[in-house]
Amino acid sequence: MTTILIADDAAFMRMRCGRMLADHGFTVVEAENGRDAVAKYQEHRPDAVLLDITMPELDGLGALRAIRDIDPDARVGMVTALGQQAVVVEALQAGARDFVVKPFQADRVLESVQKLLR
Amino acid sequence: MLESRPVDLPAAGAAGLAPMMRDGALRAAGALSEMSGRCIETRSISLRAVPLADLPLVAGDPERPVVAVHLGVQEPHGGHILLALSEQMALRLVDMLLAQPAGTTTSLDEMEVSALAETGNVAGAAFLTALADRARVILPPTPPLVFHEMCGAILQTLAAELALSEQRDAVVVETEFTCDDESVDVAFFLFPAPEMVRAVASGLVEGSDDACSRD
Amino acid sequence: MLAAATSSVAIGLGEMAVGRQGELVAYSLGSCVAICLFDPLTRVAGMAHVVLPAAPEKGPGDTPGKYADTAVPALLDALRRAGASPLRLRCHLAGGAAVLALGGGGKLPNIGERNVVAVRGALAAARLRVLAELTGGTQGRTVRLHAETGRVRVRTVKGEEVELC
Repeated sequence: MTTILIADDAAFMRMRCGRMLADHGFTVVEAENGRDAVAKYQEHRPDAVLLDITMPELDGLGALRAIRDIDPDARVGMVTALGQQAVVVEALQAGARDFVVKPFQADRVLESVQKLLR
Repeated sequence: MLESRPVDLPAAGAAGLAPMMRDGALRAAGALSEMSGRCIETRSISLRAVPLADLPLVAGDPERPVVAVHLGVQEPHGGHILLALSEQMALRLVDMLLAQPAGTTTSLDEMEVSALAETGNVAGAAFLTALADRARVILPPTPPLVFHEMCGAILQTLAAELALSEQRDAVVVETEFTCDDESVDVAFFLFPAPEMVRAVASGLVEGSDDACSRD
Repeated sequence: MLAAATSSVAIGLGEMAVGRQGELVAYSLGSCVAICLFDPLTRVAGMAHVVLPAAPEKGPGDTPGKYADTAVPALLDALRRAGASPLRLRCHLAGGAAVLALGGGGKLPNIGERNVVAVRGALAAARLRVLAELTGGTQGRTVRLHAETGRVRVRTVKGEEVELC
């Protein structure tokens, strides 16, 4: 079973993405902030991670760096409303392999997961 | 009576700010359209300076209950974004977001509040992206929070915070929307702190000096 | 029977007023505090809408009502000139809430709480005792002071109205 970790402080987003991914046969683990995401990464070692950026406790960029410290090969994509050019550059430089800007069509997230898993 | 005046800014900055705010408002409307599955467009956009004492009046009757999503703009720039909806419009919007028939949502529980928070987050972030990319600064928002309160009480709290730094006026950017061509009780406000206005205005001035246009 | 029309005077941020008729109203108080004073003998009422705890070093300028430390003396002064005696004044407070109570990363300072403390301090310094107050919490409030009777009514967004006695 391929496991995807979704981190987003919005229960609404976790529900939408989670449901869509589960419908496509993935096992979904949820985190509600960056700190939770890092802990869940340690615990579950998912095949891919989708990180929101604007989150309390630890933001997505902080979580990205912490996850890549744990596992330099971690397959992480950002799924965020914060699509400012400088932020995209920063995330990619910090090791994110994809960057999806909200609002998105459901297909785009699926594409992102498939890209991360390749 | 609400007193306001055109924003007093360095000429180059002022000339650039209005189209940039317009772009921000259009992007916010686009984001709302995507989230809701409806055609959301801007009905009006205004940029003005309002004395702090009048801030509680910018959304109409200050005792009017609203459901408002608040985002802060992080330091060092500072500022606030509010997406303010009437109670009825909030329920309607939740139905759109959850792809439910109109009238299904009758109260705002955890999932409904989360859907509204995320909508405010996406609209606010879209607006900030327009400013950030044109002016080449980073304007990260804080996580969204939803309040159900008298609109004047929310605005007054923001006014008091601005008063702490001895400002007399607040810059107010306001956008109203239509949904499928019908006016709806949804207003989007950006209250940029002085540092944010300066950073954005000077970023625009520097940008216009570049030989190559980024557009 | 027709109800008598009650004229309302809105006391905006930083404002204060004294009157003998109608209502003094501070709408949708968030972090601001409304100080309500009433002399039951001469039937004079006064209200100040306080925004911040203390005036800057250079002074309050033309808005003494804006700061807790200058609002109290200025309001007392205005009431005296209107025929009220500080010894008889009934005092009520409302407001000072944390409406945008931001948890976690929220950095909005709790001005409401600071205002309440500063107002209480300024009133104590003027030897005025607060009879009742509806302050703090997270709800916005509208407060109405009826100038002829000194009745103070406080209303929240849910429409619930409470009279302070």
